[in-house]
Amino acid sequence: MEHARSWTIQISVLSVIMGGLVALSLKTQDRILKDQLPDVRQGRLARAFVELREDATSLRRQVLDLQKRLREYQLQTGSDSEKSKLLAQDLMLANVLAGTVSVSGSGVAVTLRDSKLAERKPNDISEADWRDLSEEYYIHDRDIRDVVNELRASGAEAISVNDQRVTGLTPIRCVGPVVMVNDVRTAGSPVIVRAIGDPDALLSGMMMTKGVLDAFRDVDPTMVSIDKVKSMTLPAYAGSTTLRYAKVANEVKANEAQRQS
Amino acid sequence: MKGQIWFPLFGVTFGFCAVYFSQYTLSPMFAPYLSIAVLAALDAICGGIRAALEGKFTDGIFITGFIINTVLAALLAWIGDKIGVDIVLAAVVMLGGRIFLNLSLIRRLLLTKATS
Repeated sequence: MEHARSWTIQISVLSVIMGGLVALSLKTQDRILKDQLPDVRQGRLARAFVELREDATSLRRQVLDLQKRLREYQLQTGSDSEKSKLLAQDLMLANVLAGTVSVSGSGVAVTLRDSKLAERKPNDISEADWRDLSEEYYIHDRDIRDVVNELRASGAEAISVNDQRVTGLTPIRCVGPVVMVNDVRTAGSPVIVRAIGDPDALLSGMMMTKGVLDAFRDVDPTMVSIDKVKSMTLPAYAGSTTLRYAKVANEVKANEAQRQS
Repeated sequence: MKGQIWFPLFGVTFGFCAVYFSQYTLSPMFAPYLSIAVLAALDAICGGIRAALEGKFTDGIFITGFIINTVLAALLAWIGDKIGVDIVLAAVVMLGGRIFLNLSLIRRLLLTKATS
């Protein structure tokens, strides 16, 4: 009897331990599922990402291809008669203004880059404070938008940011260290803004005192460089050009809107 | 004898509830070692019950068996992690096989006891 009790106690104690281990194991697995993606899925995600990226690239190429073909059609109709030639010229002008064709000409290239001072953290400042203080050493999306806006004000006729054509509807924003232009990821530093227009007018717009780039000159002059360019070519807008909501207004409504403005 | 067989079951339930409803969790890093430990414990329990039913239960063998098996399995898991081979599978197969073997023996012993 003494012997029998001894094994029951021992096995029961071990059973308690095992129950605890099972519970712990369950909780840990739960946490793994909740906290992070298991290793197995990361491989699949990476593959999906690569596939999607390839898809996106091929689709973008397709868009460019179709746009090129459309332009060819437009040119062909232009060669038919005097009237359609005028129409084609108008169409080409609209295309240039919309940014759907590649254009070349003289202008300026503005290069914005993060300051090297951002890496030189003084020892007596905490990591969190430095993050706030070093804000001004980085290029932000608002700086790029300001530059684009100033170039437009100075008479730019076509603008690109990091080789992405800026159209009337182009968003420019920062996602972490990259700059998204036309929803395409581009380099965060340096950011190169090119504008076609009168180089002198554009340059003086950029150099204006109290202008957009003045703040950078106070912080670190190496963050900005502006070059006049004799001849450059800006790429065409390669994104989608389909409209889903906007329709051409009828004449009465259009006139009304015109009068109100 | 009949009443005693229920103690381990109560034990498992008690241990499970005690840990499950506590705040205590382990870093996900230890998850593979934990499952191996569970398997080793289950193996030791099955082996212990079988030995008890055969009347061959010895204190030292039972406890050391559990501890050594767990440590060895954890060691295998760790080494396997380092060299990129799932050696831990060897322990899983071994322990799993023994659990089934012991369970079948326990079943046979209980049935023969019940019929005789």
